[in-house]
Amino acid sequence: MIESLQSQQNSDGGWSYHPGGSSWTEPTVYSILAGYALGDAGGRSKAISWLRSTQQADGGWAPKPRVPQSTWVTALAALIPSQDLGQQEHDRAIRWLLDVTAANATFMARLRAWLSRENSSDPNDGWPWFPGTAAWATPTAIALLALIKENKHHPTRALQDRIAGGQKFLLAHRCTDGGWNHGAVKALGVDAPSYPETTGAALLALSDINSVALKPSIDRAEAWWKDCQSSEGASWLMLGLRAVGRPRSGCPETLRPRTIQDQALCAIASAGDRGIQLFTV
Amino acid sequence: MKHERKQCITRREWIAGAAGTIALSGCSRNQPVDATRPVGPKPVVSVLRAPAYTQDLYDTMRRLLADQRLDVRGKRVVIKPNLVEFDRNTAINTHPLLVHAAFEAFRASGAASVKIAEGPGHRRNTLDLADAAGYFSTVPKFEDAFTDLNLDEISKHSLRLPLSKLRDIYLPNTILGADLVVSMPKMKTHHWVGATLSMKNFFGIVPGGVYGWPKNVLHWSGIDGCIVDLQSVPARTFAIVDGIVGMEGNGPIQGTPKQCGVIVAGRVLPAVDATCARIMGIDPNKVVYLNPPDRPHYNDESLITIAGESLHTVRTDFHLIKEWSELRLA
Repeated sequence: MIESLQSQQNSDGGWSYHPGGSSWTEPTVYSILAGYALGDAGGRSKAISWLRSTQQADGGWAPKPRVPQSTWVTALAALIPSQDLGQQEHDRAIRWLLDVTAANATFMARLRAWLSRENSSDPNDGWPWFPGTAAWATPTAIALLALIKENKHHPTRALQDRIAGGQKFLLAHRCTDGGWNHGAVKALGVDAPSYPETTGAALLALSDINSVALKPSIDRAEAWWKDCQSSEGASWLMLGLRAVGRPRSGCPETLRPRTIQDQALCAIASAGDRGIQLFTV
Repeated sequence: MKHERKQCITRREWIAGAAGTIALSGCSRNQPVDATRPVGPKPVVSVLRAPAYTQDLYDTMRRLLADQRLDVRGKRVVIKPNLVEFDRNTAINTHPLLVHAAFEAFRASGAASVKIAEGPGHRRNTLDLADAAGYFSTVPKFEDAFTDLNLDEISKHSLRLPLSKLRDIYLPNTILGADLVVSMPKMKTHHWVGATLSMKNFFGIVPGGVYGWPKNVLHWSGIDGCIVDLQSVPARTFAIVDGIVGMEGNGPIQGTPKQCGVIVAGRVLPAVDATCARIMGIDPNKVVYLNPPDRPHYNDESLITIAGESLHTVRTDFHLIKEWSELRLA
């Protein structure tokens, strides 16, 4: 696995989603984390140099350097251990995450929702994929992982408030079947089904809350584990289920990683069998 | 003599003529040209019967391209189907057999390259989704022919006279570099815009790698305006709509399959979509994105040349949820 990831590292230090492509932030961070998971530091310093060089002036990261807009991938970069990323770079990333507000969480947006008789009390304290848009499940789950990890080392009221708001958002956007999809629970009043990958990621981000509240989600994640059709989904389910004390071992061999990121995620999830839990410790 | 006299213009006649010209030109300044009225030859929209997903589709597609006189020799063609969910037994995704039939027809027509490309809006694992939707088992060497537009290399593209709030947008190089982009949507109702057809299908060219899953920036920029803006991005477009089995009710995901038995195709996407709307029993005059200001409208049937089946013989009213019941075509 590690040889495969190393061979796909670009000369600038980053990784693409597919072999031969230019470097993107997301697969680069997952590949760095896979290096930690596999106990291999080869290529790490070059990768972290690329990451440090691509941090935006506002403290966030863009999906790739040619897009001059910090987005949700900042949360991923904040998951890199601060002693390697750099304390200053890490702190600026955390500040960026604390400052980001979903477009539907502003006072004006809530007022508009109230005036149009929509549910203006719907918790919207999650994170968007892209600034200026609404909050969704995956960016909220990843931001929560970064802030929960930070709060373990440097607890503050601001972190705890934002974590509570984000977790409230995820619980409010849980599908009727107990899992999570992209973040739309109903479409014109009709229940929408969950997905395995978002169910696993949300479960991981909520693993420190009351387990009774999570029971339907754990049941749904276990059901998805038997019926998952993607390597990405299986990896997130492994991570989520392990975090709530229901570990599953090994990505099913029938599920092929389709991207470099899938390979890295599979390595990160499988490292849980060896006691390495990069997202929660 | 009479004839000669007509050729001579007297001073009185010249002055009268000049005054008339000035008066008319003044009128034309006060009355702007109606930009919603199409100019040029009528677009041809093909409406073909296709009762089922059978091997006959391969011949149907070859005939379709010949009838449309689509010259793709030496061109880079990108086919953009609609892939949404992990399910081959519902009517959510464009059927893989129809996409493969189009793929082979374009190759047989002498295209330099034919690719299939899509960027689903909700699910990230595109290849797994395509596998579950039957694309791997239907299209030989599918992975070699396919590009995930969510994770493709990108370039910034400035929109010309956008209707939405977008001014520029990052788009996949596979789309920007294509000579012809073929939109192959499923004929479906849509809970936000009424119907999703060849124009709305272009939401899938917006890269999730930049904007996320869903591509919520399009909703915040105005869905209807974005539909109009995005369909004008590719250099040349063509549409082939999978209306063999469509989706009615609470589409585009939670609706129910609707047997309709048609393939609708053409070069002018608003004309194709207006025709599809009529077939579905939807009044195109009431679909917002088919009625943009300052863009040609093709909602009047007389503005389109229908090749193949006449619309009244294939009309199959799709069930409309109560929120869209006012769209019903009289």
